[in-house]
Amino acid sequence: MSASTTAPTAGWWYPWQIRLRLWWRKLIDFLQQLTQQPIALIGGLVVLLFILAAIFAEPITVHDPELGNLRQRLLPPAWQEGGQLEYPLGTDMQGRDLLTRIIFGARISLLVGFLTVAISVGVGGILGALAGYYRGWLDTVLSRFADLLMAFPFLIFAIAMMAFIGPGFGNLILALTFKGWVEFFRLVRGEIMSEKTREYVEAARALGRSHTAIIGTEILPNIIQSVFVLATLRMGFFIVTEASLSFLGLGIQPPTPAWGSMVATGRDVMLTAWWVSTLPGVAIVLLVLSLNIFGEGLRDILDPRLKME
Amino acid sequence: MSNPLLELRNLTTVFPTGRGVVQAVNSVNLRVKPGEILGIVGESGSGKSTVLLSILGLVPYPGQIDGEIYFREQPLHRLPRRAMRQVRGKEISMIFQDPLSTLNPVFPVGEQIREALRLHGVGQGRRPHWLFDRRGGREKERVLEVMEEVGIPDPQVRYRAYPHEFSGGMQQRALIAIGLVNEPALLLADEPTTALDVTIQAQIMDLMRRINRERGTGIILVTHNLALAAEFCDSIAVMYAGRIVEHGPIDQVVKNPQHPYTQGLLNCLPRINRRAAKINPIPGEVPDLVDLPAGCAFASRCPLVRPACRSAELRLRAVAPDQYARCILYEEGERYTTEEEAWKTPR
Repeated sequence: MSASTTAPTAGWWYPWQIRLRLWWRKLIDFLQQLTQQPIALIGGLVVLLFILAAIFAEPITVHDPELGNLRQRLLPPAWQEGGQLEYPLGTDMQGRDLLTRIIFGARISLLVGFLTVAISVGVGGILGALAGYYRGWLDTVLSRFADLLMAFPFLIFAIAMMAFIGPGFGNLILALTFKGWVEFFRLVRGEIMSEKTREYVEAARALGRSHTAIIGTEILPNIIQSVFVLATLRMGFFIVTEASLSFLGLGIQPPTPAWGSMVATGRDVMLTAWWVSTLPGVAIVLLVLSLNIFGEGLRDILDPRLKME
Repeated sequence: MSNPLLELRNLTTVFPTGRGVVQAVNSVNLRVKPGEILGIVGESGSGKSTVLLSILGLVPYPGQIDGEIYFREQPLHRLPRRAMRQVRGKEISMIFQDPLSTLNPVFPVGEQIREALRLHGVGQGRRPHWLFDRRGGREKERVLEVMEEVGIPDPQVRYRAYPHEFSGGMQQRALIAIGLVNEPALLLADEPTTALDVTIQAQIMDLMRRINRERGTGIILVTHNLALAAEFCDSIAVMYAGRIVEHGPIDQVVKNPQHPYTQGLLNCLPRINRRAAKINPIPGEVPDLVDLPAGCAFASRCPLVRPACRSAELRLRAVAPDQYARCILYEEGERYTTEEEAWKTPR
């Protein structure tokens, strides 16, 4: 071939160079579209703020999240009478700074959210792809099992499971993912079933591609956006569920700061020190609301079906 | 007599369904010589596209393929899956009907052509490493060359464009580029111009003819457009309800059709130079493939139907040199040899 003698040999990085350029272009496109959706942009920024706070929790806080100063018990927030600037959001019954605990609590909430979503996407995505692409008995078995899990209310299922296997971080993730993968399974299965009928799949077969390569390299890039959107929306839900479990004492155990258990401990002093319960609750609402707004915005930007209209 | 590039012997493709067994393709015998353009024409549901899919072994589940398929004397029907994947896209390529839905919407067109090249590692003997690919530049060079060849202007710029940024004609050219990049010996074209308007259609057919002339690539063109086939093909096979009813060199079949169905098809063609155009449609519909009538499947619509049509076991018989028809008219007496016999004797 004449081309092989004239063209210079590119380095091994060449395909990655192209891929990176492609991804970069897509990222720029995405950010441009995001600026046209101001509400989603704000949601995304708030989420980003929480993530940064969770990552850099140690350097940005001055107090210890688990060790209090009993002389500074139940201090009100700084803007109220009797509040101190050293404790901007006040302190709880053991004199621990609420702001510090909320920031460290964000770490737990986000970690639970990310891990649960990641495992759910992995398990649900792979099973959904297999079921949707190959159908057959595998699909029947998995779909019926998924239907079975869907029949239980999520929180009650998680409570029963946590009561059964006991509290703890690992168990919490297990309890959440045990039912959490179903949503992703159903989404990916449905998407693959509809994509599989598209002609490009047949064309890829005619080109000599194997089934696994078609799922991984042809279909996956076409459905990844919807998975991403669902992942964002489900993350808010998982965070709320974790908070609910922690509130009931079945999730993260004290003294580790988790928003749910912080709300629970403040109940007793609700009338005299409203901030102990309320502020962690506000944090939950803020993060989950931002995640949902961001997810909705993502859907508007990424979903090609909405774009066509 | 040169060895055929592709030979189908008694190709039969059936789809078991809830209602019964759909006979999509029914004992089809065909030969394609190297560099030949064979047209397969017929109405929708006559099984012409299924013939192409059967050749590549891509009949969708639960379809079953029976019969023999020889490509360069290599029995494709007996090839293991992995070896079959090596044939697809490398030695036999396929071009589909709707270019926009055939191109993957999320990848740039150039990358898709290149993927086809990379998949078969042309000129290298083995597939490149997925991560440490040292041949990127050379591959791209080849892709640009093919894009140029199929008439995509500005290949350097178009390489990075997405399918929806192309016009219909350009999309079809890109598809042809994907089909050609590995220099296959046989191109299967499944109604490649149906989605395009007439001027673009002419350009695309011109391109395919040029490829055929320059490279000696054999082409099977499946179309419902008899005029297009007449213009473009060397020989033609007319299919009806899963069977070939007439088969022969294009000039003979068009000038002198022997089967009533072919005659009917030719009568359906509107002529532009005749005012008050009189189109004579064939009455009735294609019979149900689950429940084919005994005898000739065309009998219910045939103007020349006789009582014997409904029971006779019909075969393709030589009605002229190289021309075969499956009709009761040629079944009687010893006048016409069957196709099987004619093929046995060297021409």
